[in-house]
Amino acid sequence: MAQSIIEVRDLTKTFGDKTVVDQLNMTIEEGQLYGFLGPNGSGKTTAIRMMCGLVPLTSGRGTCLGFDIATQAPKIKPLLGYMTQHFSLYRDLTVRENLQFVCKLYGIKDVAGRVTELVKQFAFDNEGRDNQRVGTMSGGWKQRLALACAMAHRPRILLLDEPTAGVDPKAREAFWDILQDIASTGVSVLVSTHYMDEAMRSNRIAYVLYGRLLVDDAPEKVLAAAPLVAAQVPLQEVFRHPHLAHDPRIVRLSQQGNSIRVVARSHEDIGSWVHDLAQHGLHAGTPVDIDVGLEDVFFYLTLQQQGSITQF
Amino acid sequence: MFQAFNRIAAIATKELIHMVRDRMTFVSLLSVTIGYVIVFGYAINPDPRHIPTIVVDHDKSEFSRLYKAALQQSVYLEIDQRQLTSDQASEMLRKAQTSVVVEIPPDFTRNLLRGLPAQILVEADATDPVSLNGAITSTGEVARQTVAHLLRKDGIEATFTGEPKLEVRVQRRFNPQGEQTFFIIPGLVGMILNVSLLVMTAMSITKEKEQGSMEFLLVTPTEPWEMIVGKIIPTFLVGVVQVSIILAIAFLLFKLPLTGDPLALIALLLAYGITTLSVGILISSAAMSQMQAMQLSFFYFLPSILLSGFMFPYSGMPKWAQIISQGLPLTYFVRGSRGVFLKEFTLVDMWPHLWPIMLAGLVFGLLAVKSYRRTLN
Repeated sequence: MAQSIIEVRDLTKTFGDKTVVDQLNMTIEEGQLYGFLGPNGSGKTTAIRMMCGLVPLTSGRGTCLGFDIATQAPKIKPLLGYMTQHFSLYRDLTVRENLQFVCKLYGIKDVAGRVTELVKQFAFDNEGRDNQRVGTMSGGWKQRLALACAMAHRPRILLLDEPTAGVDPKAREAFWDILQDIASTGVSVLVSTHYMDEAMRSNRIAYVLYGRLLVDDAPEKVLAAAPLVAAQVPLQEVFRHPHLAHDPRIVRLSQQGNSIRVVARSHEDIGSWVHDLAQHGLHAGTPVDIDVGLEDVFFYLTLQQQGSITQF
Repeated sequence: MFQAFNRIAAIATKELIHMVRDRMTFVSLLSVTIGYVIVFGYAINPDPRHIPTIVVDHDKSEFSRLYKAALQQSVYLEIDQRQLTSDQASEMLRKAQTSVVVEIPPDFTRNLLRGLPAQILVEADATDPVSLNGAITSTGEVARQTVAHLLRKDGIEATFTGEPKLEVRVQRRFNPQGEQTFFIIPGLVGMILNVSLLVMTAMSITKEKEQGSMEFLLVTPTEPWEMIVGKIIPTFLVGVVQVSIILAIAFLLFKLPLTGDPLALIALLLAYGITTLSVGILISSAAMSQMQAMQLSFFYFLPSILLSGFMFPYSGMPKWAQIISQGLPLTYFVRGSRGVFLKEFTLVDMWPHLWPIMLAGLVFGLLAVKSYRRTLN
């Protein structure tokens, strides 16, 4: 069994009377690419900050690389790479200057050599981007530089807080290629994201809602275990009939061009719902089965947690 | 036109909401404004009264007793009751422990009665050439009245053919030409350092907070003191350049003399510079935004400018304002700086003005390190 790099038990954080992270249990193993999912405000950022010692724990315990996250943060810091939501780069410094600065903070001996390595590894040498000021770079390149900074001191674990937010799909894909490369060298990566396609590229995913962990498994197992089916139904204007759109047989409904995408617990539910449409003067085409996605699973879990089936 | 009015109203309303919701800024702005108006309204007096004055009486005559008693009645003067020698009084004047020394020579009454010129020597600390005018005038005026009273009382008046030959010789020491620039520039060095170093340092850490880079820095192995020293060094270098420019202008353009020990000046500048940087770091640790840092810096500047003796005389302030003034590092800088430029201060003379600045620097520095947050909580 692989060695656990981060292990947290009953991790809890409250701000006033609001519980942001609620008894979270997670284990991240060596070389694992761990997707950390959940809607906005679900406690992902706070949980990551607690793991790297940025936010004190209210209760619970945890270790990172064998050190206690509550009391041994100074020992964890040199072994950990962190990337914040807003990238934390200096806009008026060049790529090289940002990298040099971070290397020096981490006490790297051969700063020039390490910076050159990073420039090559992250392809900043193409088109002379290494001497470009960060403020003039696109979001994708800033994101790449922030990752390079987090990797500067060759950490054993990377904690990345929504690193792909606001970045175009091509850059996101390239970013995940790099992450998979990094993980293949034995570095563990915990990455929070909103994008389900990214989650599918993880070795394991955790889904948190209201600070509580709802799912913790390999993405393919999460999908396989989902009690849901999905279908594409040629139909328009269903949303003009709220009672149909909010039918309890339907888990999720979304208009997609000239058809609707329906997620339900069974094919029978979809069939009977489509049949009922005709009684309201809506003429739907024949439903075509499609794949259920992770987003559908999480949507379903969220609704279950909220205690009722509602449309978003 | 109506739509333009609506848009302006929308923008103004939104700005008001921003202001009111930034509680720290809003409350401190109101309370400090009210507090400052009241404090400074009472504290600032460009025509000071109760100027510390020493009377050195060599004459020991009825005149000198009456004169001293009359001076005591003057609102402009506060007579030191101790019996001091000329040298002691002169040294106290140099060290700014008194502002005026009135010396009555041994032969004053004899000369007066013989119709010979009778001199009273008034030495005044002219580093502030304007604020002592009232006190100086008062010493002469009181002397003339006392002489007239004395002559009338003893019936000697009739024996005089002319006016009694009273001479009040005023010696404006340390700044004989009464150059206003000599008064301003030594304090101005501190004031400029205050403004530039404080603002630059206060901004530097809050900028990291606002940009979001502080979150990353906190995860690196960087210790608070390393961050603080690293932030201070470039600002300190800027301060060195600034001081060099100010001094070059002061010496070359304004012909300001440096009568004291250059080492005493360097020690004062170093101590004051480091203390100001510590205050800047403390402000930046407390402030959450650059805007707040700016406001807190301003709240520190205002009493420094108005109560340190840089612009308005210390002796003109009421007692409670003088107590506040003694808590401000700039007060000691202004005294030390005027001393070393104009009053031949040595390192030993500088020490009483140096240690309070160093102590303030130490306290502010420790507070800054302590209040520097290691976490985001």
